[in-house]
Amino acid sequence: MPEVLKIGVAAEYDPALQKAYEERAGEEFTYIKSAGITGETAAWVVIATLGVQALPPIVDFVKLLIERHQIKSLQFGDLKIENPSREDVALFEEQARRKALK
Amino acid sequence: MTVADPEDELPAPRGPNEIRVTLGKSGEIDPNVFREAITRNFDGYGLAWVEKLIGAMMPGTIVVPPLIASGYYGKYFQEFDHWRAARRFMELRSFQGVLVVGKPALASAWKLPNKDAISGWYGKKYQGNLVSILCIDDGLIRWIAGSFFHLIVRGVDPLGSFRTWLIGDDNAHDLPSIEGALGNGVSDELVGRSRRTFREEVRALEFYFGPAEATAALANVISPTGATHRELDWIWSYCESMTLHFLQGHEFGHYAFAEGTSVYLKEVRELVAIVTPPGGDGALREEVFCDILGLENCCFQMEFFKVPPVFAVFVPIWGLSLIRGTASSRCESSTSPAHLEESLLARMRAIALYWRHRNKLLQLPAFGDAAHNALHGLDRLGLAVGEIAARIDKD
Repeated sequence: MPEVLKIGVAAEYDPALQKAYEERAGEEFTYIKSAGITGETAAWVVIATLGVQALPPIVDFVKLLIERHQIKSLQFGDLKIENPSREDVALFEEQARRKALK
Repeated sequence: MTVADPEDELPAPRGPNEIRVTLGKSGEIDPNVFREAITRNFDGYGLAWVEKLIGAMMPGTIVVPPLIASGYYGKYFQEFDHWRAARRFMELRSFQGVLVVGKPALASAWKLPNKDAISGWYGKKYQGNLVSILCIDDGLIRWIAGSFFHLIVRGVDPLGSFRTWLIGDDNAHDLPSIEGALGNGVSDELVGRSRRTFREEVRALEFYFGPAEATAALANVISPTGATHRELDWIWSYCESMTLHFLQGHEFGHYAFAEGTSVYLKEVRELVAIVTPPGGDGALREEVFCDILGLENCCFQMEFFKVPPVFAVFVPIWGLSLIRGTASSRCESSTSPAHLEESLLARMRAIALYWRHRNKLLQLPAFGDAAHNALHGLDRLGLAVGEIAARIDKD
């Protein structure tokens, strides 16, 4: 199963942002809103294909979310970052590139 | 080829001592009943995306194959469809219910945009712009139904039967922490109070259907003289039924809240405005809407299948108070545990008001009184048992 990138996005996340990413990357991702029985709500962007070639648009997308304060968390394999900064993106990129080349 | 008895085609309900399903009278899986492989997963029905999505969202969670899930709860799923048909919900069909096994025990509804890459059973496309996944954890169903049955319904040594049930439920390694909690947090006094409230309301609501075989079985189960194995299984199935119907109706509610426009749902929205505490935000109103759909499903099953009404009133309140006990352990929450607990309490109060409002419609004030008493009689015990469940989940 391919490694999955799961991005927790803010309530004010604008799903229109994904269009620019999809046009550039040539693939779709899934935007999910979840509501738990406790009343917890969350919104996620899930990207399942993380090949080396797909990485640059994904990284740009994550940076865009950070810039617009629309990201809450980033999960990729064992890497879990709450409120990621631009510096954290480099960490994710390095890990994703290493896994993609395996 | 032998012809299967029609009764064999329905899985037997899981009794208090039957953790896994048995099919047919012999207790064995009959190849004539399941013509397809029992291990067939969602992929086999053109629904591979369901497993892929759940794998991405909740790594490590087991997605129960559809046939196995139907074996566990198939009759209840059919009953749920009866309710949907009766309430003219059949146009709302772009959803998929999924039974999972994972930690922590949960139930949730996901909404995602409809797209070409996903489809329903046998490749049929979903209608509309939105698709919903209704995810219910088998562990949550068993915790709510099991703890209610053993601690509140059963008459003889409820702490002992609860403990025995937990051991039989593969939790033997957790027993030291449970023993501690049972000894300190969940005292006999606390359990006794909840049981007394339940029994008083059994009698108060009995008149609704009048003397019936089910209420006679319930009387035997709660009497010290004891009940037969069949009666125990029968009453257990009411705990399980009301748990599943409340959870399934609630999660379906999130989908209906976004997509439903029928007159019936308009009435539900009006009821939400009446029972939601003043100042409640949009998120709370959506949760109350979903709780009411869960209750409407329970109410329908109660009337259609002559379920003793005390289960329809008590089990949803018990479920929410137990879930409230697990709130402090939630780690992926965007909301503080204190806010979650407060919101769950507001929902439990809204449920009690729902029964009061409904009894005005039915001219039966006893329902509102029973719900009020359930709210006050079960709350503390539910919190304590929920904390035990959360501790086991974390271990």
